[in-house]
Amino acid sequence: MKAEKIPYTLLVVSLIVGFLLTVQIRVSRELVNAPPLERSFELTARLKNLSAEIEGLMEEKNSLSQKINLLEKGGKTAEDALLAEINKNRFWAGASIAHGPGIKVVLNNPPGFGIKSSLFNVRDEDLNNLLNELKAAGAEGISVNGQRVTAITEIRMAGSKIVVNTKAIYPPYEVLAVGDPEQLKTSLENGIIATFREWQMEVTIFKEKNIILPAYSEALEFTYAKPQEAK
Amino acid sequence: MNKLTERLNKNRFGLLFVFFVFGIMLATQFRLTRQMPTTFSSERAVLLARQVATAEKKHKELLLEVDELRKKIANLTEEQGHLKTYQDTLVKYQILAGTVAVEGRGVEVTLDDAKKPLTVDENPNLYVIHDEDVLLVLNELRAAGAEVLGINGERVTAMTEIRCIGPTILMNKTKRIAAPFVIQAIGNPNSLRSALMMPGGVYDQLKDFVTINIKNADKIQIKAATPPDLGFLKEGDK
Repeated sequence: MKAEKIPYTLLVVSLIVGFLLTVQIRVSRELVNAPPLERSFELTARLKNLSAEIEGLMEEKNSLSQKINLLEKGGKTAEDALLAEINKNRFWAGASIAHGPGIKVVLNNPPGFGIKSSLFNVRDEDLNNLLNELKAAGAEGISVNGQRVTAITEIRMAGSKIVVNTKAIYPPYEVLAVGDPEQLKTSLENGIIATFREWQMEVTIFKEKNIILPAYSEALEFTYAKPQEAK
Repeated sequence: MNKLTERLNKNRFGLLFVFFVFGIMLATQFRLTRQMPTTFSSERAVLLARQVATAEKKHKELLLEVDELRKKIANLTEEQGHLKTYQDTLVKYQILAGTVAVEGRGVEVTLDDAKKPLTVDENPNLYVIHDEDVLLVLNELRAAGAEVLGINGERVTAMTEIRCIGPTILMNKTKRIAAPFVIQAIGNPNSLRSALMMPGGVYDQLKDFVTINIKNADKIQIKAATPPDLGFLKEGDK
């Protein structure tokens, strides 16, 4: 075979094909080794949340250490320190009045079809789902029709009424949530609110500069739960 | 001109083949390159994973330290007669706020995806645990007087969200829990159990779709939650 018989076009094409092949093999090998991007999002979010919790724990550590110093002094100083610790826990528990920016969500039964529409009346599960969305979106405190939401607050149908903290509440339901107003509003609008509207419920969200949340006012009685003993 | 046409005609099949391969390669490569932005370098992933591990270790240490300090406060209060009256109040608010690890009697509700084999026309989505199922159980337990709630030992606080993602639950922003999910409730075991077992109640609603198991437990232990991250909420009414 003589060299000049090979067409130049074929030479050029072969070169390009060879080049492509090399690049492709390299790229696909890298692809196999690289983790999916979603996993890195997950890790980044996790790191962010962990850092926030670490910061909170460091603050708590300082706050507790300070109180221990004061408690060791005894007398009135110790008493004040203990009261401060009680107030902090009470605030965190939702057992004292609190305030801050946030949103107000007003939710009402579908208008005017009488008994027929009661299937789509607001139910306990709707409010519980709404609260879950607000919590996931970073709400720091919530109340429903004047009842503060705590770790043991139920929202439950009793007959045709909804009961919160053992008190009956009536429509329209007014849910107050303290937190980043923009974030809270957006996360509701991108999700659960569309479902409510589909069922003809009346929903309005207001961004508020200052919301006042009532204190949980039920008597606290823990008969079964005890702090864990030191090991 | 004629000469060129003649030569091209002779090489027709060869050229056809080469361009065919060439086209396929271009297309594949184009697709691969488009996929590239959805993955990222493995070095960065390793670095990130290492940072997360470090943060988790630090987090764990701090939890222990904070727990120790709270116990020290309890001891100091115990020792000083004039503070004793405050002790009960502090513990009550700590339990409600979730700042102290607790234990006690109650019930444990185990939830898991349905184990039964599905036929082709059944929707698998109906037979896995959803946020709503967990919320339903928690709410019923609260209404029945549960004093403290937890899931697989993690504390359910006032602001705990429940996110069922695949076979896991994400709660308290950072806690990922794997199935089976054990919802723990400290309180009167009989009241809690009978509330769940009411005809047409939670057990009846869930039992056809998911695996649900309710049992009394003598010593349920639930961890303390981390302090709430409060950037907006302030004490008082102004």
